Amino acid sequence: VQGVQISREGAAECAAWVAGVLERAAPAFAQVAFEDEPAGYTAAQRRSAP
Amino acid sequence: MTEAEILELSCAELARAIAARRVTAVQAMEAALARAAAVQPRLNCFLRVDADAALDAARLADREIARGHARGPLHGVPMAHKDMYHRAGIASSWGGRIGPGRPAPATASALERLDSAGAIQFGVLNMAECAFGPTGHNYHYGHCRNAWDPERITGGSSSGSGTTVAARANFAALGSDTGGSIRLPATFCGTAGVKPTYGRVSRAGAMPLSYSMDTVGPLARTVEDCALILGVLAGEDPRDPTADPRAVPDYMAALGRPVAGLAIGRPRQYYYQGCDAEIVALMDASLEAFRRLGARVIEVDLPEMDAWNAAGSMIISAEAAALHGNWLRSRPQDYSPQVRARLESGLAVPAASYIDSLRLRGPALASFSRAVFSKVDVLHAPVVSFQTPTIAETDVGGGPKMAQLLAQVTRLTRPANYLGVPALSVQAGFTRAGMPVGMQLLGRPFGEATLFALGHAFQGATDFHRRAPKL
Repeated sequence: VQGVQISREGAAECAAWVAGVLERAAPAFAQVAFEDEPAGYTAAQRRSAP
Repeated sequence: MTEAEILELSCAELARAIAARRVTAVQAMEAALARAAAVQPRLNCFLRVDADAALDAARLADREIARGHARGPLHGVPMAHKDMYHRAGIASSWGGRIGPGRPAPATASALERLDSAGAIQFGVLNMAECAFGPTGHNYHYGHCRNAWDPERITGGSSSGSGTTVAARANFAALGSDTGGSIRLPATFCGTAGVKPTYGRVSRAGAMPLSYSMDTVGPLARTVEDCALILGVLAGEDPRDPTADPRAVPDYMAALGRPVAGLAIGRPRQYYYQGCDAEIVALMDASLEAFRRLGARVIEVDLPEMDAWNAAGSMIISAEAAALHGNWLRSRPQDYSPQVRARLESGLAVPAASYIDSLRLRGPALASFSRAVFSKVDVLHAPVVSFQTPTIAETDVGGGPKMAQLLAQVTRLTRPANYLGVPALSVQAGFTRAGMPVGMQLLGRPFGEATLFALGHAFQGATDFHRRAPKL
């Protein structure tokens, strides 16, 4: 967000956190292919409802 | 009925007693107010109590009953709620200094529906600042304390909701669950709590944290109360386009459904990784109780839970940072260091990763449903993998230990938010230290009724929910 003042240490901590989260999410992201773009989350909810 | 006897009643029992004129709404309100005043110095759980207005409303409720008119299934039941549900003409605190800062122009749909059902709000409750903290610490209003041991955390962010209900100072409370904020205080404080399916309950007039993950639900002493209150809350709302239009099942009728033959999944992966041995034993004991009730327990393999948890974390962080952007620019000093640091982390989430996290949700739910719901009716799991820590042990502020600690606390709850599935937390027993431990039951989207049937049957076979903390 433009204009938010973050210290150098704070920015480094943010970057480290994001790097860690992205690494953990990578196996799932690797499965999202362009042609597999879902029709929508609510559509998935409807298909999986009892 | 004595004051102590009134306070031991569940919402459903109290509503029946008031309707039958065995207890008056004024007696119930006076009991709740007296108990609230008694526990507040030890638990720091109420942010405001509106005694005079609540007693006036209780007197009106009694006059209505005398005329033969009950507003609804919660007529005369006292409740206090997490201070993030807007009431017209009153400014909510959102648990901190940041917030609307002016009286709300309209009442939250959830409060309107509880009002219509006859519930009487008598106060607002402590909560994590901006609902962005899973432990119950609050650096503005003081930390909320656990009714079972005031040195230990309540869990958050619905900290006051959990501890007031456990302490018999409140019959039920609204919480909100974006990454576990209903189920965590429910398990740490020993109450029931339900995180509904995403879209099941309107969020109009509730403080937003993450549009894609926020859910509204109750904490109460019994599963029956959760079913009763969710039935009041759920349904379409023109004020919230994400509120789902499908019909709301009769959750109270579902409580009587037989559970024999239902299949309960015990996960082979993720949920028991590094789990405390006492908690594992309590989970296994609860599964044995379900077997005795006639349910089948089947081990199931889970897909990429850790990756989905990470994706959920990115969504919450990015959306919260965007929502708070103006205040982060103009009033950064008004956040506690922890909340500010967490919001700043969200600024660093790449836009493409945020979008990938969102578009992965549909396939993730489909994959989870194939793995779990093609084999079982519900997934049974612990809510947390560790025993209730002390407030001091988890007082990490915004320091370097923060991210790791908070990730550990929400590790087992956040996947249900990412997947959007409903999850019911129910008391499963107590540790040797005397602290309550909860289990969670995850169901199919909009499958709350099955969760309630199982949870209610479990409470019929156990007495954990009847035990009260000695304060």
